[in-house]
Amino acid sequence: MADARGARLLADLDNAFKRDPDIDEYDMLPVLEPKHNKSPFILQDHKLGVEAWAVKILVKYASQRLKGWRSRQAGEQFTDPLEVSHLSRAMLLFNPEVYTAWNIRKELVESGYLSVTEDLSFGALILSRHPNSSETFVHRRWLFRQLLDTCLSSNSANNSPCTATPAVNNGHLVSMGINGVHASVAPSLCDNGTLALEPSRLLSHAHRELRLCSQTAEKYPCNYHSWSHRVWLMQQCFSSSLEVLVSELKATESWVCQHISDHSGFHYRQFLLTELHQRRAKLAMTCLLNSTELLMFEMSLVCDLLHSFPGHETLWYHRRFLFQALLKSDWLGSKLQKHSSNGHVEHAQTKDPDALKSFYVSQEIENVTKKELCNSDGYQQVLAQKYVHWLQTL
Amino acid sequence: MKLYSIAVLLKTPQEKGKILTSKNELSSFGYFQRSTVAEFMSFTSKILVERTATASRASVKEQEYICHVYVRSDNLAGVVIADHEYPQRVAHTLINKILDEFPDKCPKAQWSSVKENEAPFPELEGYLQKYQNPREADAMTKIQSELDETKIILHNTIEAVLQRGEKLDDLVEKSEGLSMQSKTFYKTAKKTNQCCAIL
Repeated sequence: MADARGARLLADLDNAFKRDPDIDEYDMLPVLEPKHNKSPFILQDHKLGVEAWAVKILVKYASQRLKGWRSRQAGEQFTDPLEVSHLSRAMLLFNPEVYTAWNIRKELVESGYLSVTEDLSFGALILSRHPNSSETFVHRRWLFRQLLDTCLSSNSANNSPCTATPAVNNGHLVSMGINGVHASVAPSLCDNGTLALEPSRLLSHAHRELRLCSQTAEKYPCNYHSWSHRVWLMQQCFSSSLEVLVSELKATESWVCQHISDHSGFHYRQFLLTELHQRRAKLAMTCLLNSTELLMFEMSLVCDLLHSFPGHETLWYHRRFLFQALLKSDWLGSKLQKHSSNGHVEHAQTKDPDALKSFYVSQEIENVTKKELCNSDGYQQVLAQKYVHWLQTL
Repeated sequence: MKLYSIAVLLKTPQEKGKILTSKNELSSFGYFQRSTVAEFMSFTSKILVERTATASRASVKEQEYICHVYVRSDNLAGVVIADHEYPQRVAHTLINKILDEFPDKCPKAQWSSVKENEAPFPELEGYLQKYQNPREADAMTKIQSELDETKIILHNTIEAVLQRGEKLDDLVEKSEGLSMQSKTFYKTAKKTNQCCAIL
């Protein structure tokens, strides 16, 4: 009885996806019992609503079928790959933690029954309802690996000199993406135009993925999985290209200003600033930017935010990171030079880096004491006090 | 930080909350949840106005939301629903501003006769959008002293605002402003311990 209803529901769900292949959101509707003899799947404006009673039956059915198929039990007949893909879809829509179902989809992709693009948009659909599903993000990284591999193999098969190393190759990709130039310029990468389409496809997927990360971060506060996925994209798909890092720094600035207690978002900026600082020589040359100035700018931003929105621990931790980064940067060195060139060296101690460091630490302590410690109350004061304590340990 | 809803209400002589005008920003909620969320925003606004004494302010936490309420001495009331990041002072200053302007558009004589949620105040939508970003909206976040002396009473849940013997579940069940669908949403969300909709 239940089994028959399960098969029927699966067919209904497949129909819904057939009728509207562009479903971009789904949700459960609070209908606890079947009220009429109609399909429990409602399509409206590319959104799919599923009546709650149907979910339990459908998931049970899908998981039994998948389990049977996987263990190749006696009596379980051959299952069409398309049906397997539909079963895993029904399962994952409501239960994206099931790793087995994701693995089944990996096998389908590898054997060519499911395209990477299809599976990427399916994952995006899942993230619309489960924006912090780590399994979904892991699966997407695997899919991107597939894209990267095909991209690299198509290029190395080409034997063209400009695509010999992946790093150089991706460097080209990225600058193209920034300028908004895609497939039209791609053939210039290689002598053989047909194969060069792959990189541009990867690039457009990667840019779409960045937008997806922004959406999931917006939907679920402190979305660690979304932001670390973004870090991975930067490192693997954009090869930490300086142009993209700089554009990301710009793009996330207004975001953190609107999400002042989201540490994951601020941590992403810390990652960007660290990467940029590590390659400061190249940054100065290609982008004409000074990484220390970026840090100083970020410091003034966080101080401004602390003033407007008191009482958020995230902001204080960001300030700690920045102060530490500034101490380690050539900020101290440049100050030292300035001091000596201006002839303002009043104390001999300022020439000594250690003394200079303690001078700046005490200056920061004084700043905090004057601004935040005396003029604030409640939690902000507690946080400011903690920051001062931390400064004293430096 | 997000601003979900602004509402202007009248606390009637029978101690009932009547919505004069309201605007919601619900794009961050799921498509199928929006109508329910909107109903619960109005429901909550009314409950809070009914249980807040005249000439007093309150900020009430409920899961990931904070509802800011001010009932003026002439029984005109304002409710702003925002998230935890949204600065409390800005929310209350915004209420002040709106309650100051509202009588110019809809004079006091009409408050009791105007239909529910139909008072003319087209500026409300603009405020809801502009104040999504409090730093750009006004320099007032930097001026901390502008708010009047009225103390803001803090509550940690809506249950804490209710009178003795009152239960939120009963209020939801009895409410006329909530549809059957919203009531089922509330019950299922409560059962599975979700915080998908407001309340």
